[in-house]
Amino acid sequence: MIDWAELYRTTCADLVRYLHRKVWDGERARDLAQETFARALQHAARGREPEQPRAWLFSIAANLARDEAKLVVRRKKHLALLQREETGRTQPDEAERLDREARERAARAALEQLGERDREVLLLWDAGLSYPEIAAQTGLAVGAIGTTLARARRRLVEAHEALEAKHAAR
Amino acid sequence: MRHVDEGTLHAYLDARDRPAAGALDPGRREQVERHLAECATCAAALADAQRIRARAGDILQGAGPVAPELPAFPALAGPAAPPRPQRRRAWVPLAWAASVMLAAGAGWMGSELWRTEATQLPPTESGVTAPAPAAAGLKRPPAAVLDAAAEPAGQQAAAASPPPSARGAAVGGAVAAAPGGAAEADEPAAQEAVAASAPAMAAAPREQRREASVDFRVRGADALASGGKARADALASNEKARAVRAFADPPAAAVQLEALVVTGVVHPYPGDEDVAWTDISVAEARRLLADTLLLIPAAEVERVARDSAGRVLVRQRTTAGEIELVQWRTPEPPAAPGPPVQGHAADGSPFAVSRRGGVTVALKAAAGRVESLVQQLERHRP
Repeated sequence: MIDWAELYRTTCADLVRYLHRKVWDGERARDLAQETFARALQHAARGREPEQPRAWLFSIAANLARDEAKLVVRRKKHLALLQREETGRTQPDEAERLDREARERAARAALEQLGERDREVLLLWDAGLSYPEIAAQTGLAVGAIGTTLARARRRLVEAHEALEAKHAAR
Repeated sequence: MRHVDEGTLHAYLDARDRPAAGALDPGRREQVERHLAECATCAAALADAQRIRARAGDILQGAGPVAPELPAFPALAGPAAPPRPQRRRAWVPLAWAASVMLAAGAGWMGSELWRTEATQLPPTESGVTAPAPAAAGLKRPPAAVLDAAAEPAGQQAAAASPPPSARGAAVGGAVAAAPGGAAEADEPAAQEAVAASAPAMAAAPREQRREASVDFRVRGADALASGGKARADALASNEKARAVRAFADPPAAAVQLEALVVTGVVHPYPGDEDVAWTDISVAEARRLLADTLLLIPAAEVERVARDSAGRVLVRQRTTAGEIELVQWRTPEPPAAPGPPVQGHAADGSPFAVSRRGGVTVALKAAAGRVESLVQQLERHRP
């Protein structure tokens, strides 16, 4: 039987990070992480427990994030209000906040230059999944994960450096 | 042996960083290591691969949440109909055991407590104390539970505008949060205490129709580990807003409801209530609030009043319109205050509730001013 408490404690932060790179909204990422667990629990309650719980959680999360795009419009009008409140409270320093935002924009832009599968594998590894778990979720062979990661990382670095060069040139 | 391909080099480095991740089987690892010892080309390629891994990691670091606090445990959605005893009994304990353990193991970010149309939960039920935690991995120190009325506080403000939705739910006890001792050192769980508020906040008979989801936090997960069963009562009729109470069965292995957290649209503005406000002097208002009476600077004071529970209402006028504050004493929360909570009052004006330093303030003003006023308040309060 799955130890949900342990799973939650060890995986939740990673899920939030993974989701953040999909929806690019801290608040939403946290909401979706919660919802991921809620759904996972419901499934489990009906007796369906997966072989690889963590990979399964991430696949639920990925689906939620995909559906999320359709809900973006509804949230937008409140986002401004919330973000203003949030940033007023959580950012210690304006300069730091701007810097962080710039870094996030750059990372996001670089990530978007990757192919979808490469990006997914990269995000899953960064979220702490193992090679077999990543393979299970992406449908790749375990032996191919290393190659995919190598390519994804190289492309990410190249894309990021290209963007930085463009910025500097301005 | 041929040179090592890039993918294998990355897998090798991944295996080194995270040995349990199954990146490279041990036999292959040894092969690679032996080759690397002899081959300068591949050793250089390895260094290159490591540089790329590190750089990619740095880039990704910048693309994450700032303070990855663990979210509060999500509510279990489900049918609001009264449970069919047979099936429900089988379903609920499993899910609830899981959910209760989850909640107990997780930190939580903030709370808004429902004010409800239904009656309060009787104090005794939420007051059952759990035995000292013994469950593996859940080493929480017991926290005192303040059982009282719900109170508005912290965090996740409305995602939806105030359309009609949930019927109000009965609210369980309030809580003083335990310090986050259970988590590992690097777990960034944010703790927030929810303090009991003036009893007047509780049983208003008016129906609250708001959309929200309910989180909760329960202590005493060890009770479940030791074989007690958890049972949940759904007290709200709306499938989205659900206040739940968990007890263990038998009572000896009781779990205790630590907090009821409602995220989503906030409770109504306290100044809207059908309460009798009696005019008082500013001096008496100060006395009621132990000298922490908050006034918006440079705004003419039109009215100062109190209700039977000792809350103070202040109405002020500025050129930009009317500002109203309702303030009341709250027991000092042990942890850091949360960000203000927001909502819309009956007349449509936005309001925000902020809690710090033993005083809770609900502030209502014209749109756009609320946030800046609350920020001012936040900055200048003790």
